[in-house]
Amino acid sequence: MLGDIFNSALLETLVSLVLVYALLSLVASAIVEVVNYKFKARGKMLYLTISSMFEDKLNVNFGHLLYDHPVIYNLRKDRSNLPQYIGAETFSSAMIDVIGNFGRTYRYNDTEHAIVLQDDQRSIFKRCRDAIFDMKHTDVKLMLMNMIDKCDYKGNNDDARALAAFDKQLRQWFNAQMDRTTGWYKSLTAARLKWVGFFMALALNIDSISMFTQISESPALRSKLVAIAEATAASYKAQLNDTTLTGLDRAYRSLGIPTAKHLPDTVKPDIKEDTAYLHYLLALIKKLDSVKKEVTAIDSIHRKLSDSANNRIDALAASQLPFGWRRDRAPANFEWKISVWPSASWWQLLKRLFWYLLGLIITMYAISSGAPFWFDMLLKIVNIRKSGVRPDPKSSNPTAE
Amino acid sequence: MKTFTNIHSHVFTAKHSPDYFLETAIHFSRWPWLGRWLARKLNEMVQRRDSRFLLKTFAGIYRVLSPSSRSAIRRYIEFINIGTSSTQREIFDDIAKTHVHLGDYRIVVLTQVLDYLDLEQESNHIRIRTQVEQIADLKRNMLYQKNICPFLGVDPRMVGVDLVNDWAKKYIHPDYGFRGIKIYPAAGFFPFDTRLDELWGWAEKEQVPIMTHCTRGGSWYLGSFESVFNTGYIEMIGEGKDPATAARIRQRIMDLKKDKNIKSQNSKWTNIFGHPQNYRPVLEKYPRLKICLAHAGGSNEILRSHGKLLVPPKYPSYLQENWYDEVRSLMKDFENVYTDISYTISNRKAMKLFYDDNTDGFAKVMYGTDFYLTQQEKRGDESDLQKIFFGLFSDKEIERIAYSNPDGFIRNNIF
Repeated sequence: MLGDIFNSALLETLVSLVLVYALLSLVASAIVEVVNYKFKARGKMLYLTISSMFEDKLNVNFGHLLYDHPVIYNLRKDRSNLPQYIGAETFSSAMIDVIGNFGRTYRYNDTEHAIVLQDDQRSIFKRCRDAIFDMKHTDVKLMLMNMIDKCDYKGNNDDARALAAFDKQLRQWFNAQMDRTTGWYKSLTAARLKWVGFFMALALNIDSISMFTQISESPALRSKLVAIAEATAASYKAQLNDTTLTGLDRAYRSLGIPTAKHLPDTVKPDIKEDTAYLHYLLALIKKLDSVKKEVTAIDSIHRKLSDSANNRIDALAASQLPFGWRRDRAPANFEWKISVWPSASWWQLLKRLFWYLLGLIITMYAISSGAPFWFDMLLKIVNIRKSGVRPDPKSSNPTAE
Repeated sequence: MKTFTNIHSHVFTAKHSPDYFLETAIHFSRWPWLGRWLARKLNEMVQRRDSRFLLKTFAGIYRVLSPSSRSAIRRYIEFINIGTSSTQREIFDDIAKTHVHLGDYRIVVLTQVLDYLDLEQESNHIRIRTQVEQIADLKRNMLYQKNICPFLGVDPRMVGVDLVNDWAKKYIHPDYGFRGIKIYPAAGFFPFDTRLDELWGWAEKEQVPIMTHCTRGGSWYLGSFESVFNTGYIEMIGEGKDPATAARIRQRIMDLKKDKNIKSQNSKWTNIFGHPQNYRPVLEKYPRLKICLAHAGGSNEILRSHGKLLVPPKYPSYLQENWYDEVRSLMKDFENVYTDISYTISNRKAMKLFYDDNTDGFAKVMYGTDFYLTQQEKRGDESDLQKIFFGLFSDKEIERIAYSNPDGFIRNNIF
């Protein structure tokens, strides 16, 4: 009974669907990565986070001033760009300068006819303290004042120690705020994945409901897909030991596509960082594209399966999955020419349209879940299937004898 | 040595303007929510590298398809490029390099309070205090100290600050280097607002120059009519000194409040704030106040004054008065009322008429360009504007307009 469940058509269909989603979402993830990297979305988020740390609508915003600091200013690529990454140490060091500079004194010098910086005997810590103390009273001032009072206490009359404590406090605060940035960045990526998912579902005409029906009704297609799924899951499992890899890196590598860290040394010097992601994307698209040419060579592809993970996507598409724009497939095969309304044919068309659109929406959401999610799912579901009792070939095929 | 002075320029970036700032350009009176949404989205887009890239790509394609719009698109792209710079320094560098060939030069940089363009909308932008500090920092830098002449943005609605003691006296001081005050009434306040009374008194006493926006164009208050006019009785500086003008102003405000058709057209009803007549009661109380009514009322008003405007704008009767005529009248009546030719200079036809109207040898006219806002205009590049200026005026006039008049205007009793 248990063995029947583990080897049921339903479970095989699910394994097949998860495999398809895993591969499609990998392409989507690669596209989103290229877009994010190319268009520097992270820089804007970093800027918003840092400026919101010091925003009280009244006082000078040290976060904004930080971007004028030479160290931060020089991290930009061009004049309309923002730094994509600022380390906690760089942040705290530059921020101490910014706050300390705000506490400096300048005087107009009549002989030099210029505004001149005054010699200041105060320590950097004292200058920072004075600058914060001179702010108008708001929540931000109070927070900074509390921060600096604690550091003063820790310093125990030693300004150098107090400054070190302030530096540490700023770093901790920055790191905590960066978690927010990461959260925003993830939300942005998720939103973009949804859009890419939507366009992929539409462009490739991937209707999940119809795909489910056709896979479940075709044992031959299922067996091919399950074989690919098992090989992919095994390959993915092997990547789990490398803890330096991200979920997406593992997904890439399970298909034999190199990640930034693992590009061959011969290729590395020629590939700038910002083209690396494009490289993956092109590699993926090339794989998907090559499949079209091999539709008829299913047997040879089957043989290749055991040789290399690289051919998995080829095999997948060669399995004649029920997606893509064809005349015998929805929505082209719908009966569009209906003159009488309302009629049974009309309702039939509406019903089919409804299920078709629902299928596209399911695909969009499935793709937007991201490749790591589907690869993890694939591994789990394949493991579940494997944990079942192997069917007795004799009982499943009485004519074998 | 004489110093060439550009009396009117801006270096604030898109990050200094509120998120809803582009509502100035995108506004649908029937569907205000749609304009609001589009403006925020566009503002978000121009500040992001990816969207800017897409916008420029589409603009580039459009340029190929529509050759007649090529130069307009190029100008808008240039405007976006400058406005989306990371820092005010970069924009100052842009304008400075167009002045180097003029020898000794000085550029008046007007900081501007953009924080109250809509009292009901929230925004995450660089506020006035930080904007001013960034310019103060630039003024301290020896590379710029001689060439930058900052003016301090003031708005009576600024909270948590004493406009005279905490703000004007602090920055308009040799140690900070700010020379004058900049106001922008179209942002939603009257120059006769009593919250400015003490500041005008101090400015007159110290002869601190005030630069004010005085044209119907530009940007304006973007919030609802009610958000600024649910104020009950409006107190007025100098009402007792000039009751006749005060009565005319009050009548105009009353007419506006009754006009139901205009309340969704911010570009029109906000004219009530910047109307040059609003300065008259203030000047009656402080007759030596040194103030520049910028843009000479605007090129359209110059053309309208001469009946040369091809399509006269439809203003309600209570807003019909010609601003250019009123500016000239104020200049005649008060010794320290100046004007500048900034932005207006980009309209050659209006400038010619302005030139012909001169009767006193441009005694209180100053050269300015309104960089980089003119970038959207045909012949709006800084070098184009200089060409127009040098082409139209004689050497003697240039000496007055770009050298001695600004010198007298900028000089104050503090430093």
